Amino acid sequence: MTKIDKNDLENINFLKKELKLKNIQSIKIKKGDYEVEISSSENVSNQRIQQIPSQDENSQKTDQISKQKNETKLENIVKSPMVGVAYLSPDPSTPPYVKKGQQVKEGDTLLVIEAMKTFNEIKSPKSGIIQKIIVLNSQPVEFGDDLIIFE
Amino acid sequence: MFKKILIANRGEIALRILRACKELNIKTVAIHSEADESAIHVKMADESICVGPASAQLSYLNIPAIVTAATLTNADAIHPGYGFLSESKRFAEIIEEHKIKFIGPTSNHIGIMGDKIKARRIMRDNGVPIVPGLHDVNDFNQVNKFIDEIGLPVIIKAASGGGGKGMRIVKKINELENALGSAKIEAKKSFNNDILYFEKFLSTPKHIEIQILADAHGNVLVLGERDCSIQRKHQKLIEECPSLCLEENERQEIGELCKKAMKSMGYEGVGTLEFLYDNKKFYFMEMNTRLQVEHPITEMVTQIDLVKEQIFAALGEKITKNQDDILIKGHAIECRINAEHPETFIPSPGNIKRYYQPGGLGIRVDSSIYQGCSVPPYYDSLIAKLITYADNREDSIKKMKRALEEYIIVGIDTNIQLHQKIIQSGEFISGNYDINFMSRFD
Repeated sequence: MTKIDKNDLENINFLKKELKLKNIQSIKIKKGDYEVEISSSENVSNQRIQQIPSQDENSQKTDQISKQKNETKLENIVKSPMVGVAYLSPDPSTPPYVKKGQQVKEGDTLLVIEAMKTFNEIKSPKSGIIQKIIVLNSQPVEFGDDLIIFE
Repeated sequence: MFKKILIANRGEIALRILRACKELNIKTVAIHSEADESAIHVKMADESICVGPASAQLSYLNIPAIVTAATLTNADAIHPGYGFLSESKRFAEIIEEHKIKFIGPTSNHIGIMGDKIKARRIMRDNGVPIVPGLHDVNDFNQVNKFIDEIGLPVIIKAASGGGGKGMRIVKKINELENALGSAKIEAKKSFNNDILYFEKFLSTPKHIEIQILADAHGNVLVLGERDCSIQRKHQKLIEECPSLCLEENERQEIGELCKKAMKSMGYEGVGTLEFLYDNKKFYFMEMNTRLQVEHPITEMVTQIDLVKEQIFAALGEKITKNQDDILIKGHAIECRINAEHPETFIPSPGNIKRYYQPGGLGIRVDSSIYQGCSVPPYYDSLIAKLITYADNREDSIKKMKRALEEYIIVGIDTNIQLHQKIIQSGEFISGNYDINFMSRFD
């Protein structure tokens, strides 16, 4: 676990001031490819601080698309934490880690992403039922791409 | 002398080989994947050929495409670098069949050392100490006898193993059967060879390796050792030379044994014998029949250009130096700079927006990245090797601290901060660290 540091607090204060946010309801900080999410009771806004602008645009686009489709809550979407190639099963001869409609527990492996010769297991952030697997087997994924949606 | 060498690799090592070729007036052919079109090794080579799409399997591991590239460009030799096809017996065989010189040992020697059980036998027969082990895991009487003798834990390894695949540590006797079963399946899947063997599990050893150089005339030189105990998940992070823990007589003794084994095999080129070192004893693990990532630290303390020596050995030239001419002078350290988050270790490919490389006396940076370049997600995360050299270890660490502070890489995550923490930790400074260092380090 990484600790909250001074930068985090400064970033949150900055966003709070800039966006004139009051009544903050929740704050989420994610450390792998830095991400800060603040929601207030007045207006829900997701502010990302990212280093790569093109990827930011991408993820915003996908955010919009998924919002238009069916107002899926952000917490129900598993997003890619890295750039790489997604695989739905450990190897071609074995069944996929998870299937649509399957009940999974927090921490279960959902899929793996190969990046820079390492296979990174993407664990389920929550317990729940899988509504949709968006990513295809051996599909290249960008940072922030939607992978799996929970019900 | 060779007229033209094809470099069957990418990244910093392709550049490293290219530099040696230029100094020897040898023309170079770079190969690259579609993802590496703007890579520095491609720009600096005399000729370049695209050998396939981004996936390494279809480009840098694509033997027919690489052999075709070598034939089309009339290359008289191929340097495989490290990784990719550098330890592929089949690749070396095919190159030999095409009358192109493979810069490295013969395909036969690659094959022998690729089989860990054969390698252990050769070393044992030459008096090189090996980890106590058992080669037949199917005879349960023998297995029980072995475990009774050396005690638990034991480690199961795959004969064709590497990268921790097919490896299991057995701490309790009731874990044995399951561990054997799963190791066998994993080994079969990974290497298409399910032969396993047992070794005594050493809990707190150092990783020390011996660099050798041999010619086609039976001359073998030992070029000192490297301490590579700072590892994470079997991946080396920091290496140094010489090792603080070795006495001069120990160094000489193990060096002589390595030399004897290499002579008995008729080995040619550079190679590295990897050992575990525990309680003042060496235990042979495996031999790498190629140039190593960490070869620059040996170059710094010996002032010998290992890539040039590889080329001379491949030409059949005689080594002119004697063992007495080899002096290990000063102290060198290498930090491997990886494109990964310093805490989560999540790989971080992407564009390098700003880049500033450290310099000054005793600083060497072997890297292929530059400002504006893109680090592709398809290959290894190693993007630079930062090497420092000074008269003694203390000054070499000071230089490393200074150089890491100077190094600026913006746009992707790197493990520079992690290196800063490691080299300033008391355990590292004491030199008294073992291969578990990173698991304790937080």
